[in-house]
Amino acid sequence: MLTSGGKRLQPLTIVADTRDPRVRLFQQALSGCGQAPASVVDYLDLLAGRVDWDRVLAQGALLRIESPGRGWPICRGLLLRGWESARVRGLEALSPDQIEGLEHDRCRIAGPEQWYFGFCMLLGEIEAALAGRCDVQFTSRPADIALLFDKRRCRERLCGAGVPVPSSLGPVRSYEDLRSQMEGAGWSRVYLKINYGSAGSGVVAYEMATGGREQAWTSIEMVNSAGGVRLYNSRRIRRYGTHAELATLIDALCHHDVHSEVWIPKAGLNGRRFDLRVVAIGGHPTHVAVRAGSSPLTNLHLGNVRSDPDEVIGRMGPNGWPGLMKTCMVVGRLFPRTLHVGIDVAVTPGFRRHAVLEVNAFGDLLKGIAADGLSTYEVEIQTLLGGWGPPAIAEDGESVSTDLTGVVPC
Amino acid sequence: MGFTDHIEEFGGKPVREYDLERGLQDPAGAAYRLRLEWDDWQGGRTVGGSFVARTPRRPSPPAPQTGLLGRLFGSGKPPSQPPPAPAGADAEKDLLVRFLAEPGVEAVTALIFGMWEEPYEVDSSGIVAGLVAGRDRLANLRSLFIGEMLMEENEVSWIKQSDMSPIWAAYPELELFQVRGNDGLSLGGIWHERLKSLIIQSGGLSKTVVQQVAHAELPELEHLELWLGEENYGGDATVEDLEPILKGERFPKLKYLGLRDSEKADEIAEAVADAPILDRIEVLDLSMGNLSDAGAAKLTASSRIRRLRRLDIHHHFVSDEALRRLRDLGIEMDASDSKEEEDFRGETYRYIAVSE
Repeated sequence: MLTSGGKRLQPLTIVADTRDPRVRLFQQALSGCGQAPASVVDYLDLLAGRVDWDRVLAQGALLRIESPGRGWPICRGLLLRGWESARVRGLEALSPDQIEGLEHDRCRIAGPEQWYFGFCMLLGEIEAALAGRCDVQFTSRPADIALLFDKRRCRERLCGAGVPVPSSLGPVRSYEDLRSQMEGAGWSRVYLKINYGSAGSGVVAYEMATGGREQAWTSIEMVNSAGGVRLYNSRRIRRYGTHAELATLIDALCHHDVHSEVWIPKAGLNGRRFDLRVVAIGGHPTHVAVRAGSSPLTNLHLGNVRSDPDEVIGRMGPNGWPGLMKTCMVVGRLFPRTLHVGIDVAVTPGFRRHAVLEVNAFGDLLKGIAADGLSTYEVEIQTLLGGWGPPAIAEDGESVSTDLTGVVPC
Repeated sequence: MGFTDHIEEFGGKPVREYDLERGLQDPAGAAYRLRLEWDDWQGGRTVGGSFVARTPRRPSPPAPQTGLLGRLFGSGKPPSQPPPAPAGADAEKDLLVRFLAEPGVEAVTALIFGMWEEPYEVDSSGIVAGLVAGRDRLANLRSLFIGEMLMEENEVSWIKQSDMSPIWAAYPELELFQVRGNDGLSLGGIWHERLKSLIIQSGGLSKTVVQQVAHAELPELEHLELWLGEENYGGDATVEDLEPILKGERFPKLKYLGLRDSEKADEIAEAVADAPILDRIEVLDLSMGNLSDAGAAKLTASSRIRRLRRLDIHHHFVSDEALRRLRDLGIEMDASDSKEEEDFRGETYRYIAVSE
């Protein structure tokens, strides 16, 4: 059991799906650090407007916003909340009826933009509700969370700070649009990602060459239905090689807001390609997991091996690894009002270069990975105990609601 | 499936990557790999591009007509044929030109060519031409690998190879030749007095190449390894094409025969099971393919197979029962990585995306 030196943490409240295992794990970490358990606010109560913040949040409370998880009731609530927002932006929106239909079709790729808008609205409501409570401190600033879920904006923020990121073509509207953009830029290979999707959802690795050659690798499964082609996230990587398939796949994907990036080759270790998840806490990269998969060519990490990075560190050598750590520190410090970020980093086959692929707002669960014997949650708690707080600078006025108006519709 | 790691050892030496800044630090002790990063050619970098006249896909700065190429032949021996003037490829930026000009390069015994410029568009002919032009500089070359690319860098069936036959005459002391990628590959009429190992990795090996190998004159060959692949990926070679090899008409010193990564593994097993070549070789490798009980049964029933020192069938679809019978033959066997036909029932393999 860790001693906190008798220090007491401010009262902590977690916003989460109460049944999410992360909640229990965080409570265990609190208890292990000799701290009182956190109170929990369920997303469902928030969505229903049943939360009285003044009653829930003690004076000087810390508020930890957790992932909404993958449970249906909360997902449904966020989709409903996002319905109006999506429609106003001219995006394909799932009506309440269509949303109900998703309950039994959970693996389908549907409504990621709508989910995002609903989530941002909720974050904005939390922010607005707590505008008068300067004593309350977010461990993850709502505006940061909103930005981190938007791959394009996140990438821009990183790019602006000189962080190595893959080049981007920008939004893609259709298969033909993609090919013409690629030809114009001289690109042969590209990664397509749903801009507001999670890392494992809706990713296509596409390549084309002269002679009409083209192919795509993806875990997306296409299914024909009455209403057209539907896309599902599956655990199996497929190769699509015919023009008809590829046009159908990419056109269907482009019904959503699709972000394109250059396909950076990833290094392999012992027969498995890998990338790194680095957790930065309080601006310091502390925990590193190697996520290796035998699934080629996409960011699929389901059930894949997480291991210690010693071998990668050795292969990257005395210049490569410190450079990567420095990059992660820069990324962490781009979000000074957010205690933890989960950074996905690719290492290229020569083990000399790296690039940041994504930054995750809820990427701090790294089971089995310890730094100096402490888990990510334990380090977060220690950092909070050490007095982590927003920097003493003038309020920059950036909030979720202003961020949302900056979102550009497709 | 797919190549994920760069090899770390080749030709009996640890592999080092050739770095323009650091030069050749250990030409005798290391195998050198020449490779580009995925975006190097946007800066005009090439590997061997200076040795062939090529219409550039994108405009490049005009190449110098003298300079490094002239220095290659500074030993005073004029080339029998002047190399073609570089067109569209800047010799200063060509990794092979720079490598060949390095002092000490004569000590290099093992060389690997990884990713070159736009390898799904540009073929390996520049590298072959460069190796031929530089053969006096690489008089000690004994091991050569062209096309050592990862799946992430360029998928095997998209690697563009070329006619390798000039290598045979240019490098009479070569002992190990390895190539990855079948598209455009030709080995020509193979006639080589010293070659001990020939390895061809592909997603689908063509009839042309297999027939070339089957008619090769390689009196010292000990290790022959062919990755036969699938028809979808250009593998139109048939079991009949392997006949001259299986009959034992070739390669009097052959010790290892690998017919790997084949979607016709059962057919191959049947053809090999009673082939005269089994009287000669010590190791039979049918790994990485789709060998099933049908093929395993043919091997078990073979009268010649017991003479083998080792049978490698790792990555296979053979049942435990059939494996047991194979093991009873008493040969050293690698039957690891047993595969099962994937279960394609709907929801069991779909997942719900999690918001992170």
